[in-house]
Amino acid sequence: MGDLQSNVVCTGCSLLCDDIVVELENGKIKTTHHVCARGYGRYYQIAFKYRLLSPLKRINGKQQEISYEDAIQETIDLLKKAKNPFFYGWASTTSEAQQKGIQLAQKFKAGIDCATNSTTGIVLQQLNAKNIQIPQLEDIKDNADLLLFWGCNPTASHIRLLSKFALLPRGANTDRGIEDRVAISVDIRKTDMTKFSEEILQIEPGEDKALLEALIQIIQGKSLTEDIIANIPRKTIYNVANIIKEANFGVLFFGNGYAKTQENMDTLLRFFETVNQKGIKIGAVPLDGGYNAVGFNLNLKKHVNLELNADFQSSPPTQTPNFLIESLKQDKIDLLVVVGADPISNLPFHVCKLFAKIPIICIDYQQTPTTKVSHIVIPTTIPGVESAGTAYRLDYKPITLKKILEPPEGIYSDEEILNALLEQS
Amino acid sequence: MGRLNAFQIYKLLPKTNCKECGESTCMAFATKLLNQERKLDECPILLESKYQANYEQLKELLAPAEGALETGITLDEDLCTGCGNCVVACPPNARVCDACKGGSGPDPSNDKIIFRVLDSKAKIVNLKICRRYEPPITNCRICEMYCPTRAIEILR
Ligand code: SF4
Ligand code: SF4
Ligand code: SF4
Ligand code: SF4
Repeated sequence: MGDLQSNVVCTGCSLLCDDIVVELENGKIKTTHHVCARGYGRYYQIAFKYRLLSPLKRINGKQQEISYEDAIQETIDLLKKAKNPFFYGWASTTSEAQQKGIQLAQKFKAGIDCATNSTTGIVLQQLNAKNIQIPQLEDIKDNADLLLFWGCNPTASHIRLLSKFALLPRGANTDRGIEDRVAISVDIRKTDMTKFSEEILQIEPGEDKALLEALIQIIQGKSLTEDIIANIPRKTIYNVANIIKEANFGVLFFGNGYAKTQENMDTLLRFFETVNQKGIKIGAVPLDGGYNAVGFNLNLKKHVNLELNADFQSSPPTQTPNFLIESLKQDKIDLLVVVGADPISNLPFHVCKLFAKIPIICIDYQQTPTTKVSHIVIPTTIPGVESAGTAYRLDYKPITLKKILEPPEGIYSDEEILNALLEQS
Repeated sequence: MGRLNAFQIYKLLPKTNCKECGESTCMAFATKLLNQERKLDECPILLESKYQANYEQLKELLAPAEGALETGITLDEDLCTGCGNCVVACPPNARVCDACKGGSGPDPSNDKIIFRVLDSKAKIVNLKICRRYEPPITNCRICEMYCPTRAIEILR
């Protein structure tokens, strides 16, 4: 066995699994232990095939290699020239880099927004405002006896959630593991979650709110008059409500499938308020976002007391719903700096079209559709493999990312690059 | 790699259909190898030196973890997402590994365990303590039951 690195943290998703063991041989990764398929990429293919190893600049329409110094200088020049620069991304980088990014945005009177705000950010803000707790994953493992999966499929998105925290592990008060827990899943389609669930509620698209309303009513002691709500027979809804009422400690996991419209969010918040009033302990866990999406919202709050985004053109800075998209629509961005995100892959096409006339500077460790259309690309280290830092797990727990390998020669971390931009401008 | 099939085995056999093994074709022999009804050494042609590389390869392909035949547990790595459910859910695995019991990955030096995830794929390390192998034998199917992707199938 080669050199064993234990307690390595995987940055594949917001679970930030911290039990990874990596076997190194001659300074290279030989084998990884316990990493799932989603996290594996950063230890292998990505590190080689699509890796960026030199800064690039578009000259005469083609991206050409330039030096690090030139890339930093060009970026500073562009930032100084821009009237409305905008910093975007942040869900997949370290907390340290996020802090530097916020300072940079402040320095250049720019806008700054996080790529996962329309999902994670908004949800966290609203849960916070109502004082609804996100339970620690360890607490879920030790105590949760009811797991409700709503519009999410962790077997694909947070692959080790069920084995490591939510369903199967035996904790202090769940020493029989899955036999001490009940799982219920609500989704518009059959997913791999069906295997684990006592009740599977397959609802019609857009009917989440109706079903949640029905549950709230039953929990409040009212009765349902309709026979079928959201495609679910009344009897099933009563059964689920009873399971909820009897739970000692339940957790509602919700993901992409639960649309984050204001109406839906209001209903969700009322659900938590209702159960809490009845003395039923149900925690909320949003299953979305990059591995450090939570960190951005925390850091922004710490720095300027805003949660979602900040417009540093006004003083004090202000917050705008859907900041990036609104600014794009109003033609208010003339330079976009992207860190820790791939907007071209993740935003809808009609939004991406608005990027076409704006020069993009992208900081990333691998080629992405966004780096391909960028004016300047600055390569960076893979956090948690080639550079250390801090990331916040989905339950706000700070997790220390380890450096286990030297980065390729002359490649710096997001934090170092942003710091250079700060100090040299 | 997927679940091993007879054709993969056949491709590495001498393909002469000489019947020395007692089967009418190499393909028939391959099928019986897959079902573990015949042994590799029963094809005399394969023992000739020019087939040595094939022999070694076949040996590796056919080397199941100890107990695989008796337990009937198969694992298709192509389907596996490395979720670790089998590692954690399997009761004997949890018995010999506290980390697994609590949901974490096993220590790399633990050689008693049945399952571990390496490079994002579950591996069957050994089945000696599987409830389908170690007396008193029971019809345990927990790993199959909690495998979300059907990568694990118990064939009997
Ligand atoms: S569940 Fe997430 S953090 Fe854990 S190994 Fe998989 S990708 Fe990495
Ligand atoms: S002895 Fe070998 S070569 Fe001959 S038929 Fe059997 S398998 Fe084929
Ligand atoms: S059959 Fe039971 S004992 Fe055997 S490996 Fe599967 S879970 Fe473990
Ligand atoms: S339970 Fe299935 S998918 Fe999960 S690690 Fe085991 S074999 Fe792979």
